[in-house]
Amino acid sequence: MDSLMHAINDFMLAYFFVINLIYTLLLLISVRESRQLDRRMACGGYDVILRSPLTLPVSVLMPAYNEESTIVHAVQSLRLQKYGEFEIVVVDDGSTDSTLDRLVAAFALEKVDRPLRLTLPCGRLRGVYLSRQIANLTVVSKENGGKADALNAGVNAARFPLFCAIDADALLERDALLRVVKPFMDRPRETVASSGIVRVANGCIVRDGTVTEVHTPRSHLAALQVVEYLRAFLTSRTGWSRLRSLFVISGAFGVFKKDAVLQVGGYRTDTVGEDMDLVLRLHRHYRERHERYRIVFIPDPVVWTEAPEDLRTLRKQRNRWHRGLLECLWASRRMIGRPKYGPVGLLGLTYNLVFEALGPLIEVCGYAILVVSIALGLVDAQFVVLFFLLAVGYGVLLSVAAVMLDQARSRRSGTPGDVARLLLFTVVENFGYRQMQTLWRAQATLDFLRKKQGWGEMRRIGFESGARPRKQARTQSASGS
Amino acid sequence: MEFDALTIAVLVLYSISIALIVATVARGSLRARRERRHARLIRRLRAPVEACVVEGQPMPIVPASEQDALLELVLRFMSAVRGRDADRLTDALEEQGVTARLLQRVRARPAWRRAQAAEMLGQLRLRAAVPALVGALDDPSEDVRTVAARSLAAIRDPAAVPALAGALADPSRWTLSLVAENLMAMGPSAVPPLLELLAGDEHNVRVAAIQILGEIRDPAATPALIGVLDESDLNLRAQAAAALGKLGGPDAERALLAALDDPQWQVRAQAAKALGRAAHPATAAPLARAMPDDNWWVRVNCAESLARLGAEGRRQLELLTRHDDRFVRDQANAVLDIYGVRGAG
Repeated sequence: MDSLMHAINDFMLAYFFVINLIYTLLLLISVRESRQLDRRMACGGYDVILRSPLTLPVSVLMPAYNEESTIVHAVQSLRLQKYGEFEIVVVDDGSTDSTLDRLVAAFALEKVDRPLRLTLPCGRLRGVYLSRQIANLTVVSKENGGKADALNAGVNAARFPLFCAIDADALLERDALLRVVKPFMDRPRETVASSGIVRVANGCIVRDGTVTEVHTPRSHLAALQVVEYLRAFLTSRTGWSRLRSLFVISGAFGVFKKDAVLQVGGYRTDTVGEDMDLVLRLHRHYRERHERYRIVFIPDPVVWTEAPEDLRTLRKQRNRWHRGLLECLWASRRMIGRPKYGPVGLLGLTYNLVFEALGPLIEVCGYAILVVSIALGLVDAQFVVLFFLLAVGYGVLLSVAAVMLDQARSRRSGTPGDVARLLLFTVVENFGYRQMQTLWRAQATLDFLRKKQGWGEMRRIGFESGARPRKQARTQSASGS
Repeated sequence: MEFDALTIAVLVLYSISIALIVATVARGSLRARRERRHARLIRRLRAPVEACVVEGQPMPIVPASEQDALLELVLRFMSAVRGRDADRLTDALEEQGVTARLLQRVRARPAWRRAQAAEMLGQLRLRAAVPALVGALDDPSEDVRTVAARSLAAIRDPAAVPALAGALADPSRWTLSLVAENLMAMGPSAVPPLLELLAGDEHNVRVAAIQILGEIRDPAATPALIGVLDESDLNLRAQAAAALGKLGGPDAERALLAALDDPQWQVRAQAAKALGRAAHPATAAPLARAMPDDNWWVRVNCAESLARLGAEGRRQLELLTRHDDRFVRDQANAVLDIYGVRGAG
């Protein structure tokens, strides 16, 4: 019994050190990468891209379900994007409120008899609307089928070779599109997807559809999420992108090459992690064909999003995110740890399986065993306290590094008071917030396991058929619009 | 023993956090101070430089430490001045050795300094910098190459065209769009070397050359592009049709009308679209005749081009709404619908 407990304790310690080692490495890679990116930005030639007739035009897809309060504002804010040629495609996913009516009234929409190519399967269309006032606005109304289904409909309606998927409640910074498309201009053949940073808009001052002043939100829960987002994007995704194993492109803001997405069959409608799932299938597609490709994250293009300020909503969101991750890992289980799939399979997926998916369960067990060990007198209380301080110290260090990296790079992180508050939350989050997240994720894991028993088989079939390459999509762009 | 190590680790971790904060704050305030000093310098130099630009006064002589600020101020005016005025400014900078330092910096060790220097030389439109910038086209850093190409385009020295056009042939080191962009900025002087590339046999280069020739819109390229329409490669034919639409002119239109009968739908679709771009009402009747095509894209492009041909195009579309073929009728109706919506606003 004693030796068993010791073995378990040793395992927990090893787990702790390995995960923190990985975080540190990611942090170092990210710092180096963002320094290089900053230097390169100075000679980015953004004005050239803006004016060039060769700049790839983008279709901005905005799925909307019951967004009557924000939709008109969102479209108006999108129109202000500093970009050459782009169109806005709003997909009304069978809203039961007045989303469509408001759009019709605000932009003088008229229903047209425009044929839509159903390259990707999607729910039944109710109508296509064009605006009398704005040349580049299309609204597609369809029966409700979920976000992925709406995005597929949007891809069908999109006319341009690139599409940008954004949330209807997200606020794009004026030059975000320009910056996120840059990798496609630099390496047009290889780049298949790129995305930018998502930031928390709570507390910030928004004027004319853009964030004009950045402040740390008053709500404690939102402020905690500011720290969390900075850590996730600046010190983690930048690193994974450098390691060529990025597969998390947030649904709130990502640009894709349309041809590539059509080839892997578009978004899958039977998962809650449709964004991650798509990126994984892109990885798989190109790896299996031994073709060169790039999927990148750059920390410049900014999209602002409203973070939930109450526990219930946050919990639901995190539960969905974690189930999404688990579903994607399950769907891509054959890629995990396989050298054939390159860094994604070896590093990205393996890390996510061991530390992100199983992590919460291991952590919960760890806490339980710790309690038992103390009760049995197996470990010294002083050791436990010191170890806890060590763990907190590491958490603080990583968060502080993220906040400071943001400070050093941009000048839009609020007043010194705001920053001080953020720093305070880098400490606070270790007492309660993180443990709460761990519990929620453990709960999500259980939810996932329970649900999978019910209809796991069917899902597997769905995945295999969804990954079929589509030939006809290839010829279309060479000759089309 | 074990506890001591742990205690030290804890202390080290917290100290690193604090050190990070201190370092960032210190760096921030240093930067702010540097910027304030720079702003003061700019304010002081602004009036004399303005007097130099506007009234032709001599350029203020500054110590080496203030030359960067002087350069920055001059660069602000460079985009607004042309010809002899611009020469006067660059000459004045040259006298003080500013340009010589910039030329040296194109060979600096950090890549970003090289890129920065190349960028400024382009903004100064300094002819003397062309050899250095052509050299920088082979720089190991992609950014430096990019900026050098852009600066060469800004200087518009015909001597740089062959070097830039040559870069098209190396797609692994160059982004096609970038070189194309710069060649386009050079205008007609870039056409002869592009025609040479078009006569070569590298497929990608030829496609790029066709696209750029289309963007430059110099009629000198028309015969060569018409020649491509007779080649066997489908992609080249389709690209040539698109480019001819941008060039326009009676010869191009005649060739495009012939391309409406091309055996491949991709070429027919591009020819139909190109005719819409050329927007010559006399092409309405043949476009209407080409509309009953098996291919969706050809029908769409024919209909949309007709919509751009004014009254005659609309008349043909109205006639097509009574065509025997249901697909033709639908497409004509759809375009009229969209055209009507747009036209009303």
